[in-house]
Amino acid sequence: MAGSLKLTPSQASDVEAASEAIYASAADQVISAQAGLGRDLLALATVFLIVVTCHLINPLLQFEVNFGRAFRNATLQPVLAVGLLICALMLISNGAWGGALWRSLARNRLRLAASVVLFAYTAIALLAIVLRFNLIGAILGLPQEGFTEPVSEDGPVALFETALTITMALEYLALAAVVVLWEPWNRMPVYTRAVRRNAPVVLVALAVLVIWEAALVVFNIQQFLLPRPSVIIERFIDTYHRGLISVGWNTFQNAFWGFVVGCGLGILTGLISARFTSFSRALLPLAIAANSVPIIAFAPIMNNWFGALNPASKIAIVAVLTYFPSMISTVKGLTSVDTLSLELMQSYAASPLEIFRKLRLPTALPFIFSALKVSTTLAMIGAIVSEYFGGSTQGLGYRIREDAALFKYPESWAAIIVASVLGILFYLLVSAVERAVMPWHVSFREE
Amino acid sequence: MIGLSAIISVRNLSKIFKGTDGQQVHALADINLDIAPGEFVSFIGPSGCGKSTLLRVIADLTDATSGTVTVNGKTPAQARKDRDYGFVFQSATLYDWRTVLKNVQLPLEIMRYPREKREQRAREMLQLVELGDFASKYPWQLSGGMQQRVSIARALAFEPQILLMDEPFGALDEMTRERMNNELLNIWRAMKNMTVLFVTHSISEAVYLSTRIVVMSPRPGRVSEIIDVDLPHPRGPETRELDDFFRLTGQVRHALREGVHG
Repeated sequence: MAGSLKLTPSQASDVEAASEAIYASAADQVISAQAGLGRDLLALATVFLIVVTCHLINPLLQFEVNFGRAFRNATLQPVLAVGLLICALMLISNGAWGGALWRSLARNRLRLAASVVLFAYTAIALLAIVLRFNLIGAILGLPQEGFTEPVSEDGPVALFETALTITMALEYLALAAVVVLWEPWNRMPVYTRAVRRNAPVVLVALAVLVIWEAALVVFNIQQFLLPRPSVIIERFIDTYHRGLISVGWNTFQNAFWGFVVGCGLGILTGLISARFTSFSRALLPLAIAANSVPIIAFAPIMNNWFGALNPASKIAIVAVLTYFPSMISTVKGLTSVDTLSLELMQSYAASPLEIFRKLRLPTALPFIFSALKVSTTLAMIGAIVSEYFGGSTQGLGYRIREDAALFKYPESWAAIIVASVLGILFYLLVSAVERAVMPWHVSFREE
Repeated sequence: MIGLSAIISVRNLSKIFKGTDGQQVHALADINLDIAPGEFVSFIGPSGCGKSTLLRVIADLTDATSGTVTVNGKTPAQARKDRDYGFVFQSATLYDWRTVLKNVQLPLEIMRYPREKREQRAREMLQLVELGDFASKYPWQLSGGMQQRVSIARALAFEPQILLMDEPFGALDEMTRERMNNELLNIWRAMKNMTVLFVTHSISEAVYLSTRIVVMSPRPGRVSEIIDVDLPHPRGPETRELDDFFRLTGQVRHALREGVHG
């Protein structure tokens, strides 16, 4: 303190109290801005899923419109419907559950109405897609089988058109409900700031595409070397007919299950080896040695073991690829507990199990999640490349290789776009789980 | 203050650290000390005098090489298992993944307090350190001084008989430190019969807080002098202006110098 400025103790404590208040409110603002950004993504995802499910619950859309056909896949559809349910519930709840949610809805009638509409649409979509019971069809007296196959010319086409009109009316209502719950008009300053911050990235990306397009025309480069972006996008839209999204989903499923098995085993053995040091001393050198082997080289062997057409051969490759990073990160995370935190636990005479649950595991979570995020990329690589060595024709890797072999390069590129989009979605999914599990972590604090 | 009336007795305590190159460091040499229930004892001395080590031996966070420590007639290990100790470290050591309230509840969870009791007790403790409004905040939303107050609330939550503090205010600025000193004294007076062992670098802090000051000297770590502090209670900012206060700080400073050179 400067000699000229001498505060009395009570003044000093006022100064401290004021700085404390500033501290806390600044931190609160960071948190609310963070939560808001997640809500924008959630609202956009809900809008997307409403549009997709609307195309899936009416035969006039799902068999005859490209967008509907693109999502024709027996395992993809229920996942989309359940995804809609989760997104809708999160959007309605807005972080409050039980009594608190009920009270906040009772206060705001508009929100309550929007919640009811959105939930009703979600329920109808779930019934139709997961339980194969189309409520609108049932009310109109249409046979349920009529919704699982294309409408024939001599069938009750007019009634199906009525069903379509009702479905679309419900869709628009649900979309309006999302907007009411989302309240984007309250968040304009956040958007303008986001636009200003991200404008350079978007501009650079656009510039790259334009230069790419122009350079190919100017230097007259052949299509089979590098297709123009416009052609790739055109072919990407075209390839709805070949079910590229459904094909991508098949590959994604291999990546996902391989990821679950590989990371699951990795975390499990990581937990064991952090607990029993002798086990880890025996296992670690083996794991490191195994990791230096180019795993993809085993793909033909796996095809031999499990059969090339059996997804297990692809899942096994992905599992082996993702095992090591998650195992080593778990061990590292569990053992990087700081000494003081550990001594604190010892001063309470905490049991090893309590130290594990209340200290080691929370410390390890950031390590484990960063390994999981790396593993999403590894999983997509493993799933795609393993298909190069043979497998189902309904896989992305197979499509990329086949199209390239037949000089259909723009189609290969379109498949690569689907692969990247799925890889990014996989990464975002794991990031969302991370955020939900450890909202306290440092990486979510900065604006 | 010898014999049965002591809550903590240290007899002929030595601690030798063995370096990796076989070199031995004599951290504590033949320490003898008795502390009565309800005392506020400060340990002061230059770096390397073993004051923190002594605290850690008493807390059973490290072993003695020879000699004995008796706490309530028990070994330190037994006392730790009986949850006689609350420990406050130099850094607040709050768990990032817990809110302030949950951090204070941590020892209560481990000691299996019922849920309602846990929450009520934690809130009381936060009131005591004047952080009642910050219960739902995360540690990183608090300033350093506030974090340290949370860690004191956490140490007091289960009403330990003995509060061990290892330079708890060392990282705070002078203004905050004096305010924390007052709060600590109020808490100590509110908690009847709690014994506080307090390691510090600051002479005025030691004199202001303690009923006795143990002055230690390094290489090997030993007790060079024990000074009784007879300043009246309750103490406040005016205590720091008393002639006795200056006399005592002078006495401690002198003992410290003697310890190094003598």
